[in-house]
Amino acid sequence: MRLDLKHFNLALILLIGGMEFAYAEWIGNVTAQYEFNSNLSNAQPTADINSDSAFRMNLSGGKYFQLTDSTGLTMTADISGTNQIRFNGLNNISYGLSTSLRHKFGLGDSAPWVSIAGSAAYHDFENAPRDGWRYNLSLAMGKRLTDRFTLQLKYRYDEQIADRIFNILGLTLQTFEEDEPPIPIYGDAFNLSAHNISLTGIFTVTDRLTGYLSYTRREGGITSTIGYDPEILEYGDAVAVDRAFGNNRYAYKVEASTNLVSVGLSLAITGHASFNLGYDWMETTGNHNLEYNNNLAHCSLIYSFE
Amino acid sequence: MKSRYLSLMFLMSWGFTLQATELDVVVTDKEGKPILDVVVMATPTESQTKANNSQKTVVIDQIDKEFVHYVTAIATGTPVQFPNSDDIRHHVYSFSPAKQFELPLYTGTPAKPVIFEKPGVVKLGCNIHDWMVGYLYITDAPYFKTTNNEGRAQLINLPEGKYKVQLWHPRLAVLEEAPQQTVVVGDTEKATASFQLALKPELRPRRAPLSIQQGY
Repeated sequence: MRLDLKHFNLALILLIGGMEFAYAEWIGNVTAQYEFNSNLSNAQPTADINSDSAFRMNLSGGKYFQLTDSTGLTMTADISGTNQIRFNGLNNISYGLSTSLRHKFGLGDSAPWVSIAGSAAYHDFENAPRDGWRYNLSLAMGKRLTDRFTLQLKYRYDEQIADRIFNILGLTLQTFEEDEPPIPIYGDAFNLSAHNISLTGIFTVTDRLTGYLSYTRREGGITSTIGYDPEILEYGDAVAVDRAFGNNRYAYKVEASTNLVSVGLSLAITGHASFNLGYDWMETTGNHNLEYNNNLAHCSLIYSFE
Repeated sequence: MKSRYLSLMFLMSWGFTLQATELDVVVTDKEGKPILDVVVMATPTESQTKANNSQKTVVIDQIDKEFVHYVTAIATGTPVQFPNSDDIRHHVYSFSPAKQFELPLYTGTPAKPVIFEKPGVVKLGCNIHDWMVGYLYITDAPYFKTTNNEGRAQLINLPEGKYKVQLWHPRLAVLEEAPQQTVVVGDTEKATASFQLALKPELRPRRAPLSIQQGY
């Protein structure tokens, strides 16, 4: 599955890139963002909860191809840099490619549409165990229901694969048969995959102000970082040393369900630029009684060259 | 000889009676700011002046993914050409009852203009760039013009008389009656009229980027 996603994205890009289109349009955008996360470590014990702020810059550039009257293809190269204020081990640069194919069913701004999109990006962290590829594949549909209201439904599969895995010797699963040898816990705590489904409502407040409300349900692996506590770690599907949050810190992976509610406002500054404010509330419940919350606040400036 | 003299005098007096003058209309919003792209129409209330049936082709261009101009007023029966001055393709369409048409993906200028045979409002869109919106107002009024950046429209060469002056704008508040006034264009050089309009917000799809974070 991991190779399929990476190869799918690259194959699509090479295939489309090799085709000739008479009409292609250069597109691009720049995003500068500030973000605060109340629980960056995704921890449950109060002593292990770490908040932090980050500055992020994204550059994306590529081409838009109008394939038919109703179908358009977007292909971009993307570069992103994140700088954490406290936990510099999570500073990272990522570079990758994105593609998106969108089809409208009919004529006009109220015609329903569907899209399929994929991306592959390599993330290079200051904390090396997290280095690796991240992939996304999504299917979405949407429709402008009234002059003021648009609804979108999206399914997204995401996967991240670390370059290297470091096993912690002697760490074994807590539960095993007495006559069987202990089952070691492997160190692939930063290898995650998840299924996400989201429903988003976008509301036009004024000609320049747009609001959105979104609910996402995520099912998949999460990584939580805590101090050394074998009673908790031995329930993990994987455990790794995590120096991004300091010494004597361990990341463990479990399967979890996350409810995410997002709200935001976007102000059009010009036809090409916007200022955006957003707040996300996340509640995660994992196997073995893991529960934690995150509150994220973010603001961004986006300039689009379209 | 006498009959020729009398004919000449008659024609000269008729010419004085038909002295054309100017009607200057200013349109502002409730805060006093000028409103651009208001269609101003003047129709004589007493005489049966024929509508302006000029067959001169009007041009609505597409520049930087916007219709230029946003509002265009034309006489009924006018042909309109839709050149695409962008280096990408557009797909122009309209669902309006006054004229439904479609110009599928194209560059350059279409071979034939589109003729608008019925009076009314035609809302233009581009199927590729949803934020692209323009309006054509097709009128039977003999005199019409759209306001400029100063909210001003100058109608020239109007014969003396009483005129019904009406306005139209795509964002006129729904509950408001069509604004109109009766104006006398007399023997002074310029008649004036002013209007104050309430406009509703423009609710077309937004061009500026939107950030929706849904990530974990």
